[in-house]
Amino acid sequence: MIISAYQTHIFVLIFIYIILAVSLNLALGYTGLLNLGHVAFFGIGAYTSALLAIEGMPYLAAMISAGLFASIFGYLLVRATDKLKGDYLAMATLGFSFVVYSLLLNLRDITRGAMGIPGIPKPSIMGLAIRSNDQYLIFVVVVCTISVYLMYRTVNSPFGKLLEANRDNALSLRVLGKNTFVLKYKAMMISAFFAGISGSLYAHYITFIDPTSFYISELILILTIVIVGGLASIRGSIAATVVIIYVPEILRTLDLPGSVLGPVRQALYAVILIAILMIRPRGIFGKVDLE
Amino acid sequence: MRTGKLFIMMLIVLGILLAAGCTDTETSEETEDEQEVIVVGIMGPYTGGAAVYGNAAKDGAMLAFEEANLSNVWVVAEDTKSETKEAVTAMNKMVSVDNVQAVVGDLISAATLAAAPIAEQNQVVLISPASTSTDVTDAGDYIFRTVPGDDGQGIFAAQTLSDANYTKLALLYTNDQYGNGLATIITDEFTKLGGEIVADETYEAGSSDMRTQLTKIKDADPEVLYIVSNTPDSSVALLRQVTEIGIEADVYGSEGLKVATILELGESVEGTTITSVTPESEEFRQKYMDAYGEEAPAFAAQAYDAATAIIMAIEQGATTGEQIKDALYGMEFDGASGHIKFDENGDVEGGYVLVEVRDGAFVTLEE
Repeated sequence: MIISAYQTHIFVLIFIYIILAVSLNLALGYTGLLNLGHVAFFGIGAYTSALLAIEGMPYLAAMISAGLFASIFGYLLVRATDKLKGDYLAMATLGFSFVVYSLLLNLRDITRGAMGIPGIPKPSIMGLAIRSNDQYLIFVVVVCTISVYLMYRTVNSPFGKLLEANRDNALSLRVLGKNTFVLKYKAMMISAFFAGISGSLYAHYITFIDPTSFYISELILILTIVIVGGLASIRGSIAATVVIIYVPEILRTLDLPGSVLGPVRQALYAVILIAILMIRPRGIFGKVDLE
Repeated sequence: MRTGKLFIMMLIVLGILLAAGCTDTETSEETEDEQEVIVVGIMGPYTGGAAVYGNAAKDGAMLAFEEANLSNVWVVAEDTKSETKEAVTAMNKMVSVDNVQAVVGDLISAATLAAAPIAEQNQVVLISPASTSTDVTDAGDYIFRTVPGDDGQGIFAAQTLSDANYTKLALLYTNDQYGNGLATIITDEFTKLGGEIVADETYEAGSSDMRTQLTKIKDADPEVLYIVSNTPDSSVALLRQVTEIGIEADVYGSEGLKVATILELGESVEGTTITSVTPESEEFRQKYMDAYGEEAPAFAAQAYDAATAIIMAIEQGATTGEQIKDALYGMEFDGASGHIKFDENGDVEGGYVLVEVRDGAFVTLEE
């Protein structure tokens, strides 16, 4: 391989987060659902897939189940928060993230709680075992391409236009006889499905998961990606994922004295993000503002 | 049009970034071949919640490398922010870019467990100075640690409580890897020794209100309460609330209670007994003080020992991860944190002592 295992690893992460970010953008940017519960879908997907695979389910089935299970929760979340809008929806969905975190932490018989799940098997598809970083990268690229293509088709279909209409003026849409609840839950289910898929890819790549991997810091990371990339822009989310995952790695190559290494990198990283948002307040490729 | 231009600019920037990444890889590999340097890594949380411990461990390990002053050893450090994903990234980076043969780290059990498969696959030795989870025992041949696992302290605590003729025990612990691990082992051992767990309560790591849990514990009427805490703030809040709620039971706790701030609670914490790993040697404490001008925090000594073990292996002629691993299994020495001898799982036995609060100070009890 031309690139080192480390570079490969970074690319694997980038592709996993592209699926996650684009799926969040589908709910947040296109449909206008200020969803702070996305990280919970990611976690549900990771746990579902890990637990099923450990029980011996073939990987692809486990991955699809992870997506489906996450999307059931997506439906339930919309069901419970249908009447809420804007900030209130944000609060409620943030609460959902906390609830799921709490469940992962306290359903000890199923999730092993804070002990986490070590030794998650690497995927094997039709007898083809995926072991090295290189093989995983190829696999992730395939899944990512399919996922992003499907989401791209979704947002550019008539259904996608309805989602954007719901974001821009839900009342008018209802006057026109469209059921916005159906629109919202469909969008959320698709979004959650792909979050679940990326959770599965994450769990089987890192091979160890615990509840803290799916909590606030992760939520902030994916929100940052979507906001820096721009709402309602798939290529924005893709570009931002690359920037946000790759920049800290470049900062690693800076030769800093050990005592300040951690904090200086973090500070530089923050400065870069602030600079991007000062130059492009709507994000790199953003088209819309959220109220 | 503007977005088009921006897109091109982004591509250019990306190109530069990629190029930067690649050149870095090449140069470090070149130096590798020319000088036959053995690269050793240190990783741990240098930012985030556990930064205090991470930095202490790094300082401890660096102390050992500076003392040894080996010309053919090159040390690299990576921050893992106490996140599993970061630990995997750091490990991948050190293995494939820096070409490390051995790594001291990580501290957090979750991070160590996430990095372990990569170490194992690339035949790189990983010695954790602080991960106590029992899962680390089975993590692989290349995974060692210089801190005894939870089972050590758990069995010691259960034995101590049983020897003191307690039969009704209440447990209160942080709902994290450390708290759960320790509590499970104490429960198993104590029940085996004929005792009974009358209350089993958890609290969120870092929280400071445990009144609900303590009230439940009071209702269960235990003879003794064992507390597992790993942040100073929670320890103080907990002990204060134990008095407030009026729990009559004797109070025992894990080493997390051994922080100076609890002594400020005065009379009410008198008699609190703490199970703790053997304290670091006087010699190391002095060395650390001379080098950094402060008391050695927890895990500095264990990290020093981890680094020492790697240095000894290299001095014996080991140059690859595999040789270092083999050398470690046959190694035995008195380190800063106690006697170091790795068993077949790469664990150390470690020793424990009882520490009691007496007249406003921590007093180590003779065993």
